[in-house]
Amino acid sequence: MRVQSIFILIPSLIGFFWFFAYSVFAPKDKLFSKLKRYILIVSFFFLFGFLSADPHAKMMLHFTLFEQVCALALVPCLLSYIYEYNGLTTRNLFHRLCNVLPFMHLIMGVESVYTAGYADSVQIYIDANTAHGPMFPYLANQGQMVFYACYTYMFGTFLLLNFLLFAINLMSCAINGNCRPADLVRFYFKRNSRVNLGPVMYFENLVMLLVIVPALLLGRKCYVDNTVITIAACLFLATFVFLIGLVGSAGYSQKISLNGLLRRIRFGDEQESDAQTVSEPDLTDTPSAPVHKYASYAALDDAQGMIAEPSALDDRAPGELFDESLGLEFEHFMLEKKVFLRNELTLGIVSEHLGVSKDTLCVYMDTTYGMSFSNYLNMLRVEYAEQYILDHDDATQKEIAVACGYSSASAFNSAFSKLTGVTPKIWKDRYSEMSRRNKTS
Amino acid sequence: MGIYNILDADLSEYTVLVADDIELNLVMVRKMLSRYNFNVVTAQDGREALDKIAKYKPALLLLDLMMPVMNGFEVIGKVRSDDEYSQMRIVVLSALNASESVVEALTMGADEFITKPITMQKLYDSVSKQFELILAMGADAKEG
Repeated sequence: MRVQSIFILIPSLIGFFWFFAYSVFAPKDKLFSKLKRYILIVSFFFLFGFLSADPHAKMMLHFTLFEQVCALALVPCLLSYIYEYNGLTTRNLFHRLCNVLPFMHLIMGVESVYTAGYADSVQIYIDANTAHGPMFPYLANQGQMVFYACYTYMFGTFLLLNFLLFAINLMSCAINGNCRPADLVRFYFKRNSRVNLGPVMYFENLVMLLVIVPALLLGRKCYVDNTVITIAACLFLATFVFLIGLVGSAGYSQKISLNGLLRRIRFGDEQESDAQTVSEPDLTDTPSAPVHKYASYAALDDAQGMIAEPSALDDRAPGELFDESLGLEFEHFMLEKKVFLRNELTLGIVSEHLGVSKDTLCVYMDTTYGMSFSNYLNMLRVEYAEQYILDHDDATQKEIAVACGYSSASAFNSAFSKLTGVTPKIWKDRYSEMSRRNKTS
Repeated sequence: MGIYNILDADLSEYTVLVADDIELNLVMVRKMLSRYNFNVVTAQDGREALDKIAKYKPALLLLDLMMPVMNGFEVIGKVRSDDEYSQMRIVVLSALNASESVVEALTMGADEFITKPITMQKLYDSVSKQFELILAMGADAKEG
């Protein structure tokens, strides 16, 4: 099991039982009777968090965007609610907002867990100067949940603590990065760009702080005092958190593992992360620092050994060491039997054959070959095609495509051109002469 | 000296050049070689490979044959015609598996021929073997 799933599962479960128990056994005075309903709902919110804590999420970017849309959608609802019940004044606007913000913060806590865990999958890298990496806001948010629980228990309000925790978050973001609008734009619109996590959280918290400070100045101790809006908001947010999990579990990470996280935190090894994206591989002229790379590789091995743990559901957890014999088996399966030429071959088939999870195989692909399974497969097929084209002068494109594992000539052409930079025809013209010369010499 | 000794050896003064026109191959080989502690530089065509050879003077050249601008055979020819690089080891990594190509490459001066697809075993065996020779030659030169 991955560390990030443990971090989300355990707090969620604890949160659920704690809140649930409290809502049942709390003293029955006026304040707590209101609070009780609210806490009961919060406990289910935690339960939803637990249910949705799928460790296989990779679409952090998508659900971050989704969260923003939901947050925006919440604004008119809130305004409409405030207007209907109290008339729209600055004072009660902030009060109402403060009632909802804790939920927002819980969401952010969940988000941070994902963010920290899946930083790699959206190519968020850790600044070399940042020893803590994304763990800091991540832990800060975990801390928030605990503080919320304690503070709620003692005072029945979230407000003051909100301020404190925003400050913590802000500090963590200040450590993690700067706040450049360009980074935010890149973050949202360029999926594969490598951006720092810091600016995003910094920006979010800054905006929320602008709400909280006036609320502190204008407001008084506030607690949830309207059951309808509380239930609506909680259900909405709980559903939303659940959706996060669904969106996340729609795919699975090809890249992130505890190893990667540890490696980065320990060594700030950006060299490795550069090599992960095929679109921008690290092919610079400068020779890479050898000693550093070697050290990090050795330490990575140590880390892998350290965190390996058996799982009842899966033979190998994603972070577990993909041992050498299995590596050989993988290559044997793919290459010796030329399985890669079979059109129906998928990651699932290979992982099943090897008796490992898809995640394990993905992590293995990344750490060993520096690319995804599909890229690896395309590479093998195109290499095979190179020889095949030269050997089969009169073969049609369709025949070549099928022989090389593609379902259509266009799919083959596209893959071939993408890898070699030229179409199969140009390639053939270019090298058939060279090949013929060798054969006759 | 076996593979594990080569892995442990301090090779930080050595550079290995990998030349291949397919970027993914470069990414993969670079990744695989990251377990050694020598420097790795890459080139995507024959001309660039020659430029990098002149610039970095690699101890080992991992060379694809079918590359644009200048193919691998031409690179081998150029390198072997220059005395300065007579000690450089050349391992050909190619999808060409016709025996004529293998013979041609070896005749022209390549030290080893690995047929693609590249596997970890093939690559590690070859690189370790080549570096055993490189280190041995280095030791001989020092003693001489």
